[in-house]
Amino acid sequence: MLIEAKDLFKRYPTGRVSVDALKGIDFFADEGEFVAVMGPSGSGKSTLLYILGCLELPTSGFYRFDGMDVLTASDNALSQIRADAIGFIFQTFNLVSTLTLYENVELPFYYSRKPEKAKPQRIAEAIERVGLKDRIRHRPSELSGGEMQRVAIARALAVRPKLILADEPTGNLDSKTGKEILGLFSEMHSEGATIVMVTHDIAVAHYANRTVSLKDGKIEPVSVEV
Amino acid sequence: MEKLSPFLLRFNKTPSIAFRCLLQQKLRSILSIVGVICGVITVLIMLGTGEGAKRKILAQIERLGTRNIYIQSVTLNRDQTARAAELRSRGLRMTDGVYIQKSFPEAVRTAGLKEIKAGILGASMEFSPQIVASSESYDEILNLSIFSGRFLTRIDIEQQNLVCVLGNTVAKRLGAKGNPGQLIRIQNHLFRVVGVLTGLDPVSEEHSAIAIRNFNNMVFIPIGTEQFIDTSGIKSSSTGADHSFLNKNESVLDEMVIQMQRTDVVPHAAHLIQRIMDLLHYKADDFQIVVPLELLKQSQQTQRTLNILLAAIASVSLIVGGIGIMNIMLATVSERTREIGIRRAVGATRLDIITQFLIEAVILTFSGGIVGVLLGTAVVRFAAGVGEWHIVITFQALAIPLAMAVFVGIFFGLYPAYRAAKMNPVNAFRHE
Repeated sequence: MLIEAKDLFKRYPTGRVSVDALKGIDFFADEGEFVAVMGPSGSGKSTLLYILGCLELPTSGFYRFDGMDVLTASDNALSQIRADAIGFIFQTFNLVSTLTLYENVELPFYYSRKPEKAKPQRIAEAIERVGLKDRIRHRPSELSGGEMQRVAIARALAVRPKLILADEPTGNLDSKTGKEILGLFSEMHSEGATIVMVTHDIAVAHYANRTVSLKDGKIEPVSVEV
Repeated sequence: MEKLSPFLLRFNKTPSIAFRCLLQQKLRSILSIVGVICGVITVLIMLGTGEGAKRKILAQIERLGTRNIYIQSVTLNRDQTARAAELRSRGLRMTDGVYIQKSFPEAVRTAGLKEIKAGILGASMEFSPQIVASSESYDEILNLSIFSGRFLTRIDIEQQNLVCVLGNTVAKRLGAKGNPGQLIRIQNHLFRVVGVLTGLDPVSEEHSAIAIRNFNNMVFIPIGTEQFIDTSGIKSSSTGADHSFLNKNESVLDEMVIQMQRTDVVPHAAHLIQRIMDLLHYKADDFQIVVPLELLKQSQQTQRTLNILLAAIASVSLIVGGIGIMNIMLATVSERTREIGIRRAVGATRLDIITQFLIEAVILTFSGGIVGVLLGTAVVRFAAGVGEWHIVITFQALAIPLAMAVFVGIFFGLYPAYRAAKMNPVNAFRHE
């Protein structure tokens, strides 16, 4: 099992009142699964995603990613996991504006332990995969939203991560472009990638083969198998 | 190497990216390094000035000769003169030198010098060479080289020949009359020019303990012959018949130079000479001993302290520059919060982030350092051309400010870089 998370709690201290984002969540995912995490805004789904992506630590609970106990791992070890095994795709694309398209895709390789030799080929493949081969010298500001999200997907794909995490990947795109992007997700999934995608849109969730619903930091009892 | 290479690979592109980020904020980057440039220029000039002063003093002292010991007559006031007379001290005389040389096998040469208040006749008013009566070995002791002809010889002194050797400037001013073989008139006597000295770089200003003579502006006559011309008056009973330079009526010298065989015997010899002279002069303090080697050591010590002080003062301006860098780096970090979050999300460690911003800070200060060193050198060149400013730029004067600039970059870049590294990645890339 790639993801084993039990009883995750997350509390954010905001001023005097602290906010409980997660209130005891169990989450499991096998390799090759495409899981959609649904829920209204404020339900804690993004928090869950960042915890799964080792970007944030739960306040309490247990989380094992690919056999590694995340709560006891060092910050460096978590960085290494993110570099080698996890690819993030965000609603706001999160490309580095000063870097070209190619460099944005290359970025994880600065920090990855993956062999340097395979790097140019993998970057080229990933860019070709999202259909932006002829725009590698462009800056993010010269690209459309759909193109930027493709770059982000290429960046996540290039290191061939064990897990791809997507936070509302179509949230900032028009429906046509959104469909294209979701098409890419389906393709990645059919090629064997493990994907966890956060969304509030039921139509988007349909692309996944399993949906988990979150409400007020808890998993809603009904899980819909598609 | 195995372990190091992935670390290096991580950063092989960082400098070029850092450079690009800095170029995108051209004006801001330039403004922020101006402070560093000014700091580096100040440090460079300070170091150069210190080095220049050091070299100047060294040159002066080396011209005095580190193997030499000087005994100088002291001008006495009336009470002291009376006391000296009471003690029956006869003042500094060539005989003192003879005693000293007898006592020291290491004393190679001794020379006496007496300043004469006289002028060359026919010379214009503003041109007044210093006329000195000297021993024949003076040129060797002070390492004076002869441009043409010869220096005074022992025979000149024994026979009291009316000959003279001219300093280079004197010879030039006299024109054709300044060549060997010509006669020049000093007071009421004609002296034949037998030699001209090679010109020396002017070391004009006075050192605290001993005046450096300007040999270019001197005329040397054999010691003893001054009694024919000196108007100020050693009354001499001896006329042409008595030519011995060791007689009782020999002149009181202004200065005597004793050259030792090696430098290492100088301090001890100076000490002994003091005691011999005390004995010979019955403890009348009508002389003083000056040891250039001691002066050298002293001035090196003082100069070192002074250099450190100068550098410390200059460093303050570099620190001010560093604060500017810190300011700009803090702005950069807060502007690029999103980028930091993104980098952390794709696997950058805290150390990676720290290194990235440190490299940017160091690129800023290092380029400031390079520009500062270039500008500083230009300023020094210009200043040296305009005024008499003794600045010597050594490798150190270039390397130290540059190294300091890099250090300032690291030191003042560390806090902003640390701030960047400790950000929560999730908050960082949600930052607008």
